[in-house]
Amino acid sequence: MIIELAKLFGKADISVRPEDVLAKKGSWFKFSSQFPNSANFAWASGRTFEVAADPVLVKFPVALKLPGSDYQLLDLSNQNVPNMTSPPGISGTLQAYPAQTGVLYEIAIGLHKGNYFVQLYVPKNQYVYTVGSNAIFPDISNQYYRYLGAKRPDDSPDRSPLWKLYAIYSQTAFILAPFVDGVDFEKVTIDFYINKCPLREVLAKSMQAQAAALAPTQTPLGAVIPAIPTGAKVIDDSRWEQMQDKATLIEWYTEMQSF
Amino acid sequence: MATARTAAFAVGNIVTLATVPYERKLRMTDITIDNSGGSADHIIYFRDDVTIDPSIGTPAGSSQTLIRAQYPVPKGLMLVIKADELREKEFLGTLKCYADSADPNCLTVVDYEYF
Repeated sequence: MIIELAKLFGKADISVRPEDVLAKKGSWFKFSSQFPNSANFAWASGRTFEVAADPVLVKFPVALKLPGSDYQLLDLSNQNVPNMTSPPGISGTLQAYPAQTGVLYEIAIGLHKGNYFVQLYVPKNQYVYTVGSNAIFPDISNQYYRYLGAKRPDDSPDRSPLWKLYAIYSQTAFILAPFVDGVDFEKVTIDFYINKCPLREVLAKSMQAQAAALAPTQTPLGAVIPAIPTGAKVIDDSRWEQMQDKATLIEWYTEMQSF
Repeated sequence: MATARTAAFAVGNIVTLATVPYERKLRMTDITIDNSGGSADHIIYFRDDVTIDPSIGTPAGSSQTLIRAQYPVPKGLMLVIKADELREKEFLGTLKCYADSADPNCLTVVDYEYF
């Protein structure tokens, strides 16, 4: 659900472009089985996919002019329709999620230089970048702990974004909270590189046979297997197992906050 | 890189030199204030007029006029300011210029870039 390439410390220098780190046709993704088996997520829960066609990359710059020691919340989901006469993020949500199932949006976040940092919530007021202790958390209203887990522009620069979020239809909202720090006013500009990936399920031959026999009933382990989707790709079991290790794992948000 | 040029318009006759694009900021890279033919000493002001978006602390937003730089230029002299001294002066909204008093013979030329 979230990937962040760690900054290289020491003498190493890195420079990447969004297209260097984004998924391409044939890239594999594996959704955690913690995705609910409800209507909007059953198609993905515990399943493995490949990008079926060349993705389409959409750059979505969002700029906020904010006062110092203050912040705004940017909701990336499609929950509330924005008013297009207002700047993005001021009314409604950013609509940066897919509008249908079977599609994954890989969202690279590029932070323009400036005097600010960004906190991430999934959903609102649920912290991702925190420690395991309940005693402290990245409270953005707290002058000391608002920095806990915060991302500065050099953590994911606009020309070399290293921080990626993954979103599918109707998924829990990612909320970014840019906080202006140390100046009277600042323009916070965040480039969202939305890599729109159409997905095709990949099944091992043995899974196909099992699914055909059981669908849409319950498996012995209790998980519901819907009918095999049209267009699913079936490959040898050995190759399927091999690719499991190479696939990008997309976690359900509660998994990221549980340790 | 772009250039804007204006005479010394007095307070109240503020000249707009550039409107900053939505997702960019502006920095001046070179300022030349030529008061060699001017009629008096002048102070030239560079102002950032910016509409601040609604925030959690200020839901209504606000309008701000922020003087980012001001330079005194004696009569008969020319002042040149280079990029090194201007690097930290960022404009978020609209770059505007005015003087303490009007003088058609005191000319200001500003080079700027968006970033």
